[in-house]
Amino acid sequence: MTFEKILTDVEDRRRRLVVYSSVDDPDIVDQFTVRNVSIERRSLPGETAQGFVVVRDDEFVGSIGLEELRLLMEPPLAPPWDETVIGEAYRALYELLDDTLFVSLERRQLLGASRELENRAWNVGSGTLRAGFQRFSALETQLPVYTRLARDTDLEIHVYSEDEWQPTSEPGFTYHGEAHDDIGRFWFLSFDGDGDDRQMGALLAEERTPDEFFGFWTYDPALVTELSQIVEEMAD
Amino acid sequence: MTVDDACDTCDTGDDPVVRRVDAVSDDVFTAMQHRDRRYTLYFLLEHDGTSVDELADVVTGWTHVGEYGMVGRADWTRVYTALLHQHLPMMESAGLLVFDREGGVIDRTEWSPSLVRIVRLAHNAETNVHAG
Repeated sequence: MTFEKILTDVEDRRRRLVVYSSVDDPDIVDQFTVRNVSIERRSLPGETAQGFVVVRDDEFVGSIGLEELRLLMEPPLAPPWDETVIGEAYRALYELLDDTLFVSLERRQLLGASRELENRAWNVGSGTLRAGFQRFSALETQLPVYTRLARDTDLEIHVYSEDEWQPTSEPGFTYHGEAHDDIGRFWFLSFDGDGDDRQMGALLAEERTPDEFFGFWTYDPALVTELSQIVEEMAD
Repeated sequence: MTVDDACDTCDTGDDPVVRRVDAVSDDVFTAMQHRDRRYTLYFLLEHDGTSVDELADVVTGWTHVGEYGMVGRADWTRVYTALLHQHLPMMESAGLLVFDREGGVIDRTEWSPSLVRIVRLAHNAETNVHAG
């Protein structure tokens, strides 16, 4: 199993997204370039200022207002322990669009999804969190967050990057400098929920062009486990 | 059956004023008392027909606009069940739509101009958040 294979598996999970709006082409929908989801448009009476999106597989999965969806595309930047930003609502938004293959995620959008997963880890306070950084500079930016997660919780944190580095010793914090090619190509994050299926989550994205990512996040326990195993094997 | 036909069956007493051709029956106002039925009518302003499944999608999605919380399958099922057993039969009796139970298909009847006006007015007031 490889990262590539996981992306292919997610591509097979088909979904429908139906956009209800009085505007023919709400600008928020333009930002939704997705691979495994068909997007349909249905009109609402012209006078309404409201619009919403319905997500379906064979059945209704969930819905969200178009304005609320904006949060996903332009997430606020806050640390994972900031409950005023990353609360129930934030989580619901990511749960609605899990297993969706986004074709062109920006760094900020992936950071938003990462924060949601880190918030789960912070709240559970134990279990294993694995995070892969394509570049050491990206790791340096996020280091204060991960240092605090290690210091203030019982989480086992494993951080991966291609570069050799000797971090200052911190209980619960392990650094892996790996030569594996995929480490440099993918942004990944996984949290095992410390055994609680409902708290598990992972994210995988490939930087196909500079600053443009192809990937998804998931709360499917089987997929999270699979992804974690791949990461573990890389580090063997 | 049109809305005006429906009115012929209402108990209008002896007052001839109520029996104007374009009058809207009490049944229409009763139908509009419930939010799920109003949003059904709003959607039918734009579409001549739909399926029960889509209508449940629309009512569930639209009535939760502005909320960040999780709107999921349980919410949908509640809306769907009430539409199927309560709201759609009631709106059909009021002459607002025709509901094919077997096919799960809903068709709007021929609405009188006054009915369209009333539904549009309610729609604009209830769904245009900027209208204040």
